[in-house]
Amino acid sequence: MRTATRMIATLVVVSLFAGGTLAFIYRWAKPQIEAHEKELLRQAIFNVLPETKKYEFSEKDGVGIYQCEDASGNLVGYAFVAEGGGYQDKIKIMVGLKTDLETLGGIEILYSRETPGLGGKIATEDVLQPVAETFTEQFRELQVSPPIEYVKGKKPEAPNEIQAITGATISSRSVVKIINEMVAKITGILKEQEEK
Amino acid sequence: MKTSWQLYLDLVKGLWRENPVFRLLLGMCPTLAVTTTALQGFTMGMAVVFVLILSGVVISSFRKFIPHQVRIATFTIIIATFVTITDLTLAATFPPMSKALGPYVPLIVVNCIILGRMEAFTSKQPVSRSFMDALGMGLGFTLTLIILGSIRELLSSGAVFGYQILTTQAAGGWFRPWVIMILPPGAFITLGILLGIINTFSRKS
Repeated sequence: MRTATRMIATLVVVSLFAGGTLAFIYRWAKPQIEAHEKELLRQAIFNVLPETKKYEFSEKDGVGIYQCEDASGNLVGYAFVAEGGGYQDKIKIMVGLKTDLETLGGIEILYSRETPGLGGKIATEDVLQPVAETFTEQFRELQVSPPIEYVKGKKPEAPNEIQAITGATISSRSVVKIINEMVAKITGILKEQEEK
Repeated sequence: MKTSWQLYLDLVKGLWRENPVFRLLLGMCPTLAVTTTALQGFTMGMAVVFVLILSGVVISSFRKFIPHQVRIATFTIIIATFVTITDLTLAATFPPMSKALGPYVPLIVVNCIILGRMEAFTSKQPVSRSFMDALGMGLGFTLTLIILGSIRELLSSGAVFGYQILTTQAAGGWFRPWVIMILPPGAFITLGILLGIINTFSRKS
């Protein structure tokens, strides 16, 4: 009986201390982690629509859209987060769509857990290639109407084509599919709004 | 004199004679997974040093109060607390590294080196010896990770700690990076060759 009480007492005391310490640390760390995430998002928006100087967030039909403006207040486009399944885990992409709703400013992979060295190349630069030829750079000024297509093993020809990564067709296809679906949804919402 | 010699021995045994990775073959999961670059290996090593030392000091200080039957549960709670502190601190102060290490920082909780040292050494020894043991084991682990990370980073991108040593073909040089070295097989091959070399040497002596 005495051992049982001691065992319970020890575990309770240790757990209480652990919980207390963690609560304290968490309260300190949480605002900083949130600030970092916000900063990453901000940089992603500036990356996908380079002329952006300031942006405004709004939610339409449950979809978050960042309206981006340049220094003199002209609308340069819309940035939004597209999300969908990849090869291993979901992929989150920041997409920049220009005001004509037909051209991409660019994309940036916010989150992915694709195979390092293969599908992982959607997010990181390839050591064998110059930065300008990375996967995501292909989406700069890319046409999205008709929807983006991918080609394998040859250079893209049409203005809506990108080249899939060799050995990572599924990851490349997922990115294209995620962007196409989200662009269609966003264009729908924006056009409907214009008509009103 | 005798005690300080003892403390010295407790420290250095982790660096070579009982090196956790090369000699005890413990903590293989992070060793293989995070050593794609030298800096990642170093950060992971430092996280383990931090957790080892603090858990070691706490557990060693309270070792007489912890009932034998629940010692592993108690150790695990203490280790998990320090691991979570490390994880949150890393995420708050050094986000790119936290992202790069991914789940391997939280996974320090189940790292055999830590629970193994707590059970085998710290739970029976005074604070001073436990501290030196934890420091030695942690530094030995860090050193190994830096060696592995440097080799893999050098062969996969021509750099060590982000400092370019070999000029890659993409940048106009001659070195063609070995893509396999960033992939898991590169970790197994590097570790295997290093273990082979070390075993050959230690058999001769």
